[in-house]
Amino acid sequence: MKSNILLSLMLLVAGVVNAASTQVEDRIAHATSLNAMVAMVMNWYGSLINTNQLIVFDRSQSTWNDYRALYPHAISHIEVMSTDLIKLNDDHEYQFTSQILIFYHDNEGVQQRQKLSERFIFYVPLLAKPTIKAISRDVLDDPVSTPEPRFDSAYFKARQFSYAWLAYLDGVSSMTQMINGDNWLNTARYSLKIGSLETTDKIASTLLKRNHYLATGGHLLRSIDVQQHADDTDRIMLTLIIEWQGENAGGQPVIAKIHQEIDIKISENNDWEVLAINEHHLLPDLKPWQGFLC
Amino acid sequence: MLKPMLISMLICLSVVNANHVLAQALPILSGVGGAFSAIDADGNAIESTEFSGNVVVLAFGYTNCADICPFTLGYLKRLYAGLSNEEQQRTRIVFVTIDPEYDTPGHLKGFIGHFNKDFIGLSGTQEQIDYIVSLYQAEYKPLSVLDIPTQNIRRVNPKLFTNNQELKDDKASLYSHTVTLYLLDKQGYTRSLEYTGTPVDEFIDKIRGLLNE
Repeated sequence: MKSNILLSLMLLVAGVVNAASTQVEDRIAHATSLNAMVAMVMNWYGSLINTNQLIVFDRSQSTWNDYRALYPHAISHIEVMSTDLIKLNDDHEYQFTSQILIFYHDNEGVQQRQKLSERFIFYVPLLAKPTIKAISRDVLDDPVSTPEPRFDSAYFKARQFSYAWLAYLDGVSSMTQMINGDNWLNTARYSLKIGSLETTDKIASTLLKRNHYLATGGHLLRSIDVQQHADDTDRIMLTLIIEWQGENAGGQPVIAKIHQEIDIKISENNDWEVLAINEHHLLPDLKPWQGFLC
Repeated sequence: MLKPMLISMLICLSVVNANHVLAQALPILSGVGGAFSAIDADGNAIESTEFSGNVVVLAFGYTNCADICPFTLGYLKRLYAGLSNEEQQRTRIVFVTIDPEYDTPGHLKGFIGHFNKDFIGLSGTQEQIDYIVSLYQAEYKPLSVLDIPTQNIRRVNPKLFTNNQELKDDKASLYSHTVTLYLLDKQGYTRSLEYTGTPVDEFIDKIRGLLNE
């Protein structure tokens, strides 16, 4: 009887500990799935906009060419009006729903609009690039009031790159192709400042040091800013604010608010090549009074 | 025979569980804090690593501050008094001046000692102080930068001004600064941000939690 009580207590405590670990694992899977999937969605919509040939997207989605042919031609802008992400019963499947407004020009060059609701079913193996298993669509009534067309291919390119980069940082190394990593991962400089640690090295070496502090966890993009270089039209600076939650190499819970500046050169064939990354960790937003000065 | 074993095991398991819950509740704040050098209130060089093994509550301020700093130190005095002797021996209350020119070690020692002789005052070169401030992502600004009139501000040593130059110089000796209290674990990681609005009992529970990790 007593040994049963003892066993029950041990199981109870083990259960609590295990539940907390599961939260971390869920966070990793969630963030990874989110970054990789959103990168693919941004790539999907960005590559539909064909009025700017100077912005290059990943073309590895030929399986869906028939479906993509259903979209209007000469798309100039796409506004993503709402999104929803649901984890399906299968552990590795997610449904990503989006409502979009497509701005395009008809054969006479007159601007037209089409509102769509689309459902993407993603198969998302942990730490691997997702694949689209199914897509369905509904054409919706054209909205009465329509926003001005604002979101062009440059908008989607910046987000496609950023989410793919975060997925890569999460450990989805197969996102290399989407960030054109073969051309810069071995040459770009990565500067990192975490507290009193300051280092500048190649990406792989810096990530190795970074992993001591941020070992297992997930990156969530909180804001993105894109600025063209003042003296070089082929250079852009991406500034990202990222939230990170997970564990360090010692298994201790860690949170971080990460500021990254990514200096990008647009190559002659319009690929994005990273020259340098500058990262430092900010004071996480925890308390409303933490910025007060007295 | 089984009863003492059961009780011991229950205690062990509850400690393990409490530590785990605490670790989740107080995660390491990445990039907040780090290793630094300073000068202590006896004028000796000190490394932050000397605090390893102790829980640390770290505050920024300056002795010429007549409002928030004495109030903060009064709060820290109550906080410290709420700990047992054994807990006090494993806890360090550290006050880092943001005005090292005025706050010499001796000056700092007198000011801090007024609240508790166990408290540690840190000064240093301006470069050292600015580095510590940057590590903790704190801020301070002379009131002269903010163009705030200072002649009516209450201060430790009341001043009478006879001309504008004295007023101008005075503005440069008063600061606005971060009010955050940084709670560091025994490894020196920042685990929580608090302030004088945190109920003392709540703060003590967090210190105890980190002491028991």
